[in-house]
Amino acid sequence: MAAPLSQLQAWFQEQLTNLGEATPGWSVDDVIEPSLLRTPAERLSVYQNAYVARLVECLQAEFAAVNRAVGNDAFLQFAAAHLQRHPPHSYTLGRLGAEFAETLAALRPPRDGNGPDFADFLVQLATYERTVNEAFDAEGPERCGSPAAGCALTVESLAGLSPDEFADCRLEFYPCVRLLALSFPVHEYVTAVRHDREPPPMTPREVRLVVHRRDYVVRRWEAPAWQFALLRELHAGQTIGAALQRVPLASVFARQSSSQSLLQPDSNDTGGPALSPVAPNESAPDAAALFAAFEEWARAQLFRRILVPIRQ
Amino acid sequence: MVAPRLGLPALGFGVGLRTVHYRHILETQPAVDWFEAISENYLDTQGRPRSVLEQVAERYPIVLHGVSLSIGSTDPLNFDYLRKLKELAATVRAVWVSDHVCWTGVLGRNTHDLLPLPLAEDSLQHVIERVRTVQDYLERPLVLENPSSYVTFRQSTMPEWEFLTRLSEDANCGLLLDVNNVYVSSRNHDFDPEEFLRGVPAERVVQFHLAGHTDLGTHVIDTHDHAVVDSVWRLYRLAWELTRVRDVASVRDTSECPRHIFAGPSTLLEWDAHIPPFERLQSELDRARGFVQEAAGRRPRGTFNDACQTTDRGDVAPRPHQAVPQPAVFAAAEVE
Repeated sequence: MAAPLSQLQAWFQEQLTNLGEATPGWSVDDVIEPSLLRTPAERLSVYQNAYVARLVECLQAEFAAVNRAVGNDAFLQFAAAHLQRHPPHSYTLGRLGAEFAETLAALRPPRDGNGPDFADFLVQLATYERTVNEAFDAEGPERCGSPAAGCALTVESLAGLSPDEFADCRLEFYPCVRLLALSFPVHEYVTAVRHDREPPPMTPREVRLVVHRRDYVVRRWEAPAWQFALLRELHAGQTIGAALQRVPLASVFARQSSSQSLLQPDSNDTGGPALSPVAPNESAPDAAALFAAFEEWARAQLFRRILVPIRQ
Repeated sequence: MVAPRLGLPALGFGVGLRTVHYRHILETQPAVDWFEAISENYLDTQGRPRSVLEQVAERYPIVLHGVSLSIGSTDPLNFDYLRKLKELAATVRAVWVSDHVCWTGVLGRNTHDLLPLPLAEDSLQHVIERVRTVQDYLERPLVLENPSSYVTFRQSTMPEWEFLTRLSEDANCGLLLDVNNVYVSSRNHDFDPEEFLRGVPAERVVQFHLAGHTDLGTHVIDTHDHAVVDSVWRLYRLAWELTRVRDVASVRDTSECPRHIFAGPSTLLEWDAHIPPFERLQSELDRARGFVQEAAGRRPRGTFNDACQTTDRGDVAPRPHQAVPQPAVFAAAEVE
């Protein structure tokens, strides 16, 4: 038998992946020689076993918390199903788990209630573990260097902007920044697994996570609802002014401070830009709280730069 | 007449750069001559792995070793991958770029395994043509490794060493002679490993790989999960004898050691599972240096027989865990 190389490779690959792709109907004995001690099928089984074992090992490394939550046997079934739904196609194993949460969502049993259930927990757990890996590899602030390099956002870089100009600015986030709205505190579960502790029982509660990276280490924190909503608007590309208008800040803040500009830390500081009140005739947010939030985000190095509109 | 090692430098004795050793390497700058980095672990990350690699590259020579070039596949070459590889090689000033004589997938798939080629005329010509294309694109020679393999094809018409010889000579590429893989394949395919070593063109061998394997009695699996065993050390000594350069004037770079000692292919120790502390890798490299010094007529730090006595353990007994052939490269994220 002297088959074209392309047919031989397609046949061989199908022996490993069992994807049901159309290949020649050769028997293993037609293609592969025996050795002195092993039959053709036994020899081929090294590759067949390795294909599954290697990829499952990688998924277990990336989704250690999911593995812990469901146990090894169930995880193996999920992983095998994932390899059928999303057989690897990239040159990097880093892509293998990209759709694992989707696989878990597709395999979930029917709901028997209205609230979040265990299947939702698993999907969100996988989503979070994947997000952490994406934040680990994406472009972050570490190579930014000095503000002179043009990619470090500081309050000083906002000097000279009028309130209107500032409201029209957009904030460019580093690609490593991810915002996750979840119905379980899956980050607490993952932390426990990583530290080899007993994970806490998972009861549903609203969780808004900011995941980012600084000094090459992935960080995450729970943001208050209003901060998360504002960050989500800004992350989606809204101008600062529009984001402030779209987020119901007035209902969040108990106090009013309509006379204070939002990015001036104190009355003696005249170098920073001023921001117009959120919306005319509405209650303005507490400027100090908003300023503190922006400062916190800047310290966390969420933003690469501020995009200032070009005035004609 | 091609220059020894294609004119590439003799780097001495190095180890594979692995995540668990990052901190140790950066903090202590251990005494190894060079590092080999798995290309795919650094192509798409802007995070810590890339930063570490660049820091290591400031202090040590770096070689990029790939597992996804898929030079033998009948799918088109992936020029997006090659573009990133070329950029990375330039960034870390890779001394050379290597991969395997294998294929990893077809029909748009990647099995993430180093799959065997039928050793026949059509696949040889196919690989030669693709090696030329890749070398033209990368603007540097490729150095290609003999993989461990577990099957042979009925349509093969030549031994692996003939395939490698014709490939390297016709495509004008280098060879990464993995001595452990020669041993593993010889056990799996019932050939004489010494015939393999004597059959490849010595002047095209740029680098050696050393690694541990798992012996299951009826067959052997290339697991990179423990020390190099006696049988492989014997082959390494023979491989060194066959490939070392006796004309020391041709040696361009031999670190701080006497020129004639390391005037041959560079040696790299791989250890990818159950990875021990870095010092253990260094002691394994010392053993390799001992053989080379012995071959050069110098008094070795440890004799060949001493080394054999300490490495025979585990040469035959099956390992308790599931034996998964390399490569399995996946870097886990660090989280606060």
